[in-house]
This record gives sequence, structure tokens and C-alpha cells, in this order.
Amino acid sequence: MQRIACAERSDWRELADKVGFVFHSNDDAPYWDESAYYAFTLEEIERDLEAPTGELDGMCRELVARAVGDEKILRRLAIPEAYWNWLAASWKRGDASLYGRFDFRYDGNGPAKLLEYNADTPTAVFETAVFQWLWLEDAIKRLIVPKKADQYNSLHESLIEGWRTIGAGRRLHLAGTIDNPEDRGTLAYLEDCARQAGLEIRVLAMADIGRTREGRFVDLENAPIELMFKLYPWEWMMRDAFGASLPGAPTQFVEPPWKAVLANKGILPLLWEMFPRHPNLLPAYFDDDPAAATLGGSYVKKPLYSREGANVELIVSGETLDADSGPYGAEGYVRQAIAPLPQFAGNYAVLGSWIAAGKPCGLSVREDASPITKNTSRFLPHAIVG
Amino acid sequence: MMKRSAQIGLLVMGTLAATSAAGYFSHNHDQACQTQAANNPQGQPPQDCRRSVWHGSGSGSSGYHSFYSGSSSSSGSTTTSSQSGGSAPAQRGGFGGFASHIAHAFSGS
Repeated sequence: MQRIACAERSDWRELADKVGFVFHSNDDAPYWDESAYYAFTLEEIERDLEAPTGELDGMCRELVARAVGDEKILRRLAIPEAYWNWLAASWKRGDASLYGRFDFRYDGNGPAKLLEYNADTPTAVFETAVFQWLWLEDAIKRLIVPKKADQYNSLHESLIEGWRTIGAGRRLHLAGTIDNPEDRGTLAYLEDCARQAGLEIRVLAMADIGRTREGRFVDLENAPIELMFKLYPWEWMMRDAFGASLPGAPTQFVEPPWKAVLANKGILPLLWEMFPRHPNLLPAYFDDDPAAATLGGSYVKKPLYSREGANVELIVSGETLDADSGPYGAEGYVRQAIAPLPQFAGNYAVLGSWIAAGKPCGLSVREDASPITKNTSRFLPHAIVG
Repeated sequence: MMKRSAQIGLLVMGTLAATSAAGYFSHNHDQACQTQAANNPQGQPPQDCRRSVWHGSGSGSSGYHSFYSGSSSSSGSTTTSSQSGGSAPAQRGGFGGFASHIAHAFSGS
């Protein structure tokens, strides 16, 4: 794994706008950054990223199977009791998952280490599936990367396959906080994939979802919402005014309710407990677990519920070295052993390994000047070069 | 060993060329927007059509695909309305309230 500085395409902003990638910059700073790319060997991709992603997905499913039948675990994850049976039913029915992203610490040496699993509302999907692929094709033509360069990326077709399995021929409502440009862009891309899979699409804001007297969810035309993708975290939905109606509603959700278990940082200590010393896991404990003391004074403290690095603290020898502010933490924290992100040309890099339609299928790389990856961290493309 | 994504790439790009996010937005919606503007001589499209697609303009009244439903975020209170005549009223605004408590209201991770 190497970071290779390269020439930016002078017209990349225009190209991004042209394909609908409108959130390519954060204010004046680029979010999409092609001044360098990450180069991997095929062995690194297959052995160190693809295979562990499939294995971790299996481990996570084992954890869910255990959690839905164990109120001690559900309580530990701060999932409200009113939803326990609903989550269990969703799991037992086999409600399908579309996608997820495992975030890894990896530098090309030794096994990738799981930092967290974005199981419920992973984003960066359009830039991973489409724009970095377009970059690769263009970069080959413009001699920016070797002619035989490749990319670990079948996310686009896996998403289409996933939608086809979930609901070809059915009507799908996509909902989210569409005031946010990135969320809007993500929904738009997933809409496109679902259309290609043969679903009929309606898009609406979370606030526009209606609830009938009978407790059914409907759209603005009062049409029933039978299949719904929500780019809106389960923990938020459960706490919203209509949350209490979720268990009784006949709507099929994507991601399914059982993903509420995996969207919780509490899975990090639970996985460590179930699979101790697994090469792709880091030691982790609930904050109030006496065993957390085994980590000593240096660890990463993460809220059970958190998005994009918010409220994550890097604590070294008892002192907070870095922290990102945010509104999370009321439900408790976990402590995870520190696995310092590798630095490439002064940038901290974290890898996102995607799974869709049940298959590991793609890679994204984010960089930041800080060791905590945030919403503003830059996205760099990658290539397989050996 | 053949590198998988070389094959996949052809398939992906073949699909994209036909009906991708790019094609979908920059062609279909933009075309609908332009037509809408042309059929509305009093209307002054204040911004370029393509941008308006992303910002959810268009009510669908001209038969075009209504992209987003033009909502505002909820503060947590719900309202009752009957959107299509004769059907039972539905309460709205019961989702999205939690997002308004989060400063950046970003749902992704």
C-alpha cells in the first residue's frame, strides 16, 4: 500500500458536477482529492481487505443472532425495550440488508483492524461506486496511473443486484433529511441504482412521512409505504414522535431493524468478547467494564451512538490528545485499544471496505490531518497496481 | 489472474452510459426542467435548471417526476392533513425531529 502523488485533472470539478457529484468540496476545501491516489497490490486487496470483510460480516451476523435473544445485550446497547421484539422478528424473518461499510486501520503490513462498522447509514457511496471509477478510467487514458491499473470496486453493480433481490417490481420509498446536500446526493444515487433494478421509486423527506389512524406509514399522496429505504439512523427514528408506531407498521425497511444492533459501537466490545484475539479486531470494552482497565491510560473513547467521528476522544496516558465535538454520548461509551492510523505524507488514512448484496465489493480511502476521521475528511481514489 | 474489476468496470460503465445517476440527473431531469420553463412564459427560472433539480423544485403538476416533496424539517410536532381529497387524514412531521437536534443534521456515517 502506497500513497502516490499524481497530477490532478484540471477539469475534475466540472466532471464531478456533470455526473451529479455536487458535494465534492467542503466550502473552499476539496472533499474529493485526486492530488494523490492509494496503490494496492491484488494480494493486499484480496487477502487483507476483501476476505476479512466477508468474515467480519459473518461474525456480525452471529452477534445479531445472539443479541436479539439476549436482553442483557440489548440493554447494554441502550436499545429501548419497546423495540426488542420488533428487532428480533426482523432478524428471524431474514429482512434483507442492502449495504454496509467496515472502517479499517491498515497500512499494508499485518492484518486490517476493525475501527467501526457503519451498518445502518453508510455514506460516501456515490464517490466510491462511481466517481472513483470514472477517475480510474480517465487516469488510465491520461497516463496518470499505469495502463493496467485496476480498482477494487463492484459496488455499483452490487447495489443494483441488492435492490433487485430486495424488491424488483415493487414500489420503493426513499426517505432522508434531504435538506443536507450529501444525504440528498446519496439518496439520489441509491434511487438510480434501484431504478436500474426495476423498482418504482418515490422520494420524500422524513418529515413528510405520514401516519394513519391505523398506524400505517404513507407518503404525501397517502399511498402506503410498503418498502422504505431510510437514510436516517435507527436510533433517531426510535426517538422520533412516530417511533412508537414502528413495530406495528407493515412497512419493510432497508436497512432492516436488526441493523440497529450493528450500528452501535457497543458491538466492538461484544465482538471482542465473542471472538477474542481475532486478528481483525482490536481489544474493546464497555466504558464501565472493569476489564477496560486492561487498556491502561491509552485508548479511544467512542459513544455508543456517534456519526462521523463526533464525540470520539483519543486518550493517551490519561490525557485527551484529540477530540471531536458533537451531541452524542448520553447512552454511554466504549473504549477501544489505540491502533494509530498510518500516516502517508503527513496524512492519516482510514480505509472503508464495502459490502453490498451480501458480498465484499469495494474500497474507499479517507484522509485527514487529524487522527480522527470526520465528515470533512478528504476522499482519495485508489488503484490496484500490482 | 484476471483482475475482477476490469470486467466489472465494463459492465458498470455500460450501465452508467445508459441510465446512470449522471445520465438520469443531467439529462432527464434537466430536460424536464427546461420544458417546464418553456411552457411557463411568466415563469422566470431563477437558477439554472440542473441545480433546481437537486434542490427539489417542481411539484409534478406538469406531469414531470416530482423529485423531492418540498418539505421542511420537523421540529418534533406533528400536523394532520389530508393530501388527496377524500382519503383519511394522516399525521405528518413525526419523523425527522431528532435530526433537528443535531447541529449538522448529517445522517450518514
